[in-house]
Amino acid sequence: MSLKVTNLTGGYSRTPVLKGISFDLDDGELIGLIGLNGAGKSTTIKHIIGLMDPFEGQIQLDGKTLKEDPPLYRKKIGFIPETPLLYDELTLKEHIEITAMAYDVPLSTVMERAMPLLDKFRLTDRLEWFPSDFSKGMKQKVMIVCAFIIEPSLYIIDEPFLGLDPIAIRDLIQMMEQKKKEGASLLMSTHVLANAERICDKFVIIDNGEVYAQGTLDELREKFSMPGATLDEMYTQLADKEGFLK
Amino acid sequence: MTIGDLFKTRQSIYYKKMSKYLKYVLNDHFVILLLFLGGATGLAYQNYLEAVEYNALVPRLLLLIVIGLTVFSGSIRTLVEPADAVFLLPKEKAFDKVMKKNLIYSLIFHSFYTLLIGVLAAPLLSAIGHMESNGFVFWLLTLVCWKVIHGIHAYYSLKQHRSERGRTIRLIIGSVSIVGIMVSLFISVITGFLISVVTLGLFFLFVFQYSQSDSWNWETLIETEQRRIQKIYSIINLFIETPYSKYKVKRLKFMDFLYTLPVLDRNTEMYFLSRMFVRNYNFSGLYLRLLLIGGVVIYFSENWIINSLISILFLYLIGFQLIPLRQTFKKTVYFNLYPNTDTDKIKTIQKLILLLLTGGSIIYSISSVNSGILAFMRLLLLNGIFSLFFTYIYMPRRLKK
Repeated sequence: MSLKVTNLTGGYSRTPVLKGISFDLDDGELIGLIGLNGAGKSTTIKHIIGLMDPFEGQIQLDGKTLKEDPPLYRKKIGFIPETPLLYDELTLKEHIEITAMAYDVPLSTVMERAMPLLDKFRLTDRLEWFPSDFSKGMKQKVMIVCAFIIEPSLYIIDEPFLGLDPIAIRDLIQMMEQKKKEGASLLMSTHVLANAERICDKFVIIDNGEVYAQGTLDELREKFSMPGATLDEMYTQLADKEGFLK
Repeated sequence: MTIGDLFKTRQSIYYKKMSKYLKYVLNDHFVILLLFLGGATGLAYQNYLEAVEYNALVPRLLLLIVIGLTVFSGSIRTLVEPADAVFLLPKEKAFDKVMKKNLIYSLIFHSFYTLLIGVLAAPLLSAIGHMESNGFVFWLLTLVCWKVIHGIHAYYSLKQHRSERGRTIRLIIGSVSIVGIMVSLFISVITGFLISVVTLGLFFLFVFQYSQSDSWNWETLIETEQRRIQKIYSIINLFIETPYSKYKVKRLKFMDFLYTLPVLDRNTEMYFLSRMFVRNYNFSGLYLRLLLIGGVVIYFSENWIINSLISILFLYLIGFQLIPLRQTFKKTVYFNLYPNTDTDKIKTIQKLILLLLTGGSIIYSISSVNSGILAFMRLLLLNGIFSLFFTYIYMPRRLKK
């Protein structure tokens, strides 16, 4: 058991955005977090990585909550945010170094892990560049590299495909599948349903702060009695029927 | 809502913000300090006026620099925002009216501080030169003329021009005004005045002849306004923290050795903080400027009271502008996510501030060495005590607020 979210209720002010969210994420599993804008995907992620404190409920990573052992909990998570967040004053190389320092990984190991990724993303010549010199897609690639070099057991990826070129999307999907094979768990939130359908093992559909449905693609098809439907078809049908789009 | 209304709202927000910041900058302690410094400078100026020789060259060159900087400084306050290039583009005719108001406002404001400098400079000018009777009035009018020429030029440089023409005009105006100011300083105030009036007239004619129908260059408009606001904030940031600090980061590779100095802790916080300080001009630039200005003033003053005061004032300013370093940790999400950040962030900041204040203490003390080794030792001791006080007593309290 890797990540276990139980009855998570939380939000920014007193009024909760999330109302009792529960799902499990096993080792070697990739779950897609699906929902409209404002449904609560990013808020869920913020609670899991520990940026927000739940009002109620529990988030356990390998049986331990954040409060029990913060460094251990944090070390297990690699996070790629929706909008690339980089240090304006540090170069690409220094981003890799500071990540190594913060996660207690020897610098040589980190560089060894980083080089093939940098190569793949064509960033090898740009180690001395500042974030302001990068395009949005390149910044996103830097974020991906920084998350993958710490080799966490849980990857949390918030909307990874925006701004990436098609080759990078293909590479990222390959990287995610590779990590899955190695036994890591991945939680990905996305609006690109076609990609999600292709790579995710399970889906958690969130609407209005609640889990609307969850399961594998087949389980969802069965639940909504739409055999053979794509995730996209099911989702839009569902949204219309249930008034998500109200 | 018309464009005029939009800018009126913006203006009132702008003034509210500025007056709020000004209130913080001019707090009681600082006003007393300013009064004291003003008095000391005034006294020094008076002594200098009595001692200065008729026809001396150095004060003239000094005046040329001061007046030159005054005349060439300042840009048009437009309050344009980046999004305007998208949203206001179709309303350029209405925007013209707003810009005319902006021009008038800026010209009045610029003339005001130019007059102030002119009034302050007048006694020196009449002590060293042959200022004619009524020369005072002509002197002030001359300055206003040059300032208005510069203002109108700044205004029209915001329009779309071919770049060669812009460069030629800038060159002509720049050289003519320097020659004119030199005539006022070295030859005759009244002749200088005549030159400025004629130039103003010719420039007016030219502008109305050629530039009336040009449309606005939005990119320049936005860039100029951003730079202007940034300058204001960088001054305000000397005293208080404002949330507005955009800057360009420079790699400064030759400074890399600094990060490996053994006095710096090997932790994630210091790794980030040291690099950020050096490469972020908001921090390192201000530090260097304050070191330089303070050092020069102390070097030229031989009065130990003034030296001590200036030294403490500048160390205070240095320390104060470094307090926002705390914000940089709060701003980045990662220092909340990193597992390996049990170290006290405040302690890291304190360490860096103490290091920088120690550097300042040494520089200021060395600048005072021409008043004798005893003065040097005394100042070093005083600065050291102040640096410790600031880092370990004042700063933690300030951060708690």
